[in-house]
Amino acid sequence: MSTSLLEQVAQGDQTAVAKVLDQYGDLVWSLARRFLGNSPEAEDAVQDIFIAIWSSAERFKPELASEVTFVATIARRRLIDRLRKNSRTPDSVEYDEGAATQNPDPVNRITENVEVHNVVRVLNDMPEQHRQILSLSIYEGYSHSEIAEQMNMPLGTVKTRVRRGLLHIREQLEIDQEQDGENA
Amino acid sequence: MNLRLEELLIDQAVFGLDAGEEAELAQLLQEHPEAAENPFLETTALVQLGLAATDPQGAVAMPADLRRKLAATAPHDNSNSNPSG
Repeated sequence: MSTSLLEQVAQGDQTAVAKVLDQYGDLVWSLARRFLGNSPEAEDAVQDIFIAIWSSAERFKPELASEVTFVATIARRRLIDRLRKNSRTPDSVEYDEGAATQNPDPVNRITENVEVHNVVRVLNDMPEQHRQILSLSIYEGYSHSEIAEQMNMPLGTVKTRVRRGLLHIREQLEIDQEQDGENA
Repeated sequence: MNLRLEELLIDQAVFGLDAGEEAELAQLLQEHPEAAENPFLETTALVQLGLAATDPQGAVAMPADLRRKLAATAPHDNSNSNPSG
């Protein structure tokens, strides 16, 4: 079995560092920009995230999660902490063509990961409004109350839909995992 | 799973918690240590990835100078170090 990129990073392999940046750099940058807007804050956040990735690389266990999920989980925790600490509302993302070039390949490639592919399928099967609430909260970093206001919906409804949506996705992923296990 | 515990774990994974909620969660986890590894953290990370992958405007190339800074923060290659040098 080949050694994962993160295991190689943990061993101090500089070529693996470059490969991790090739593989996940644009992804983490895109997630940070979506959460924090095109601001110096997003750049600081990405630096925090990669410092955490380097220092956590030796804890990566390929049998427990895929590498992209491990990286995204670290990124997510740092982005939420930053958003809460600064009490900021995520900015709407306006792409400045002078500052960054759109380059969808590295991000689109993540659907090659079977779990991400399955999540996309479950999300696509959900009612549009439920999907939108998950997108505003999980992908764009809006709070319960901001979503309630934006969607003109009681706060309790937002909370319930986020909770039900996530439970539904977890349940579907577990079913997929069982089926994959049976087919293996 | 205890309903309030589940609610707090989901809120932690989706929105983050304030200090009061963190304390409440810590208290509940003493009674339910099996939930200490929040399973919703991985689920929300996957959802975030799925939404990023399907967002037509979501993918942006990282600026080259940021990439250079990130490479500089990485651990150094121990195998090439010269102990005498």
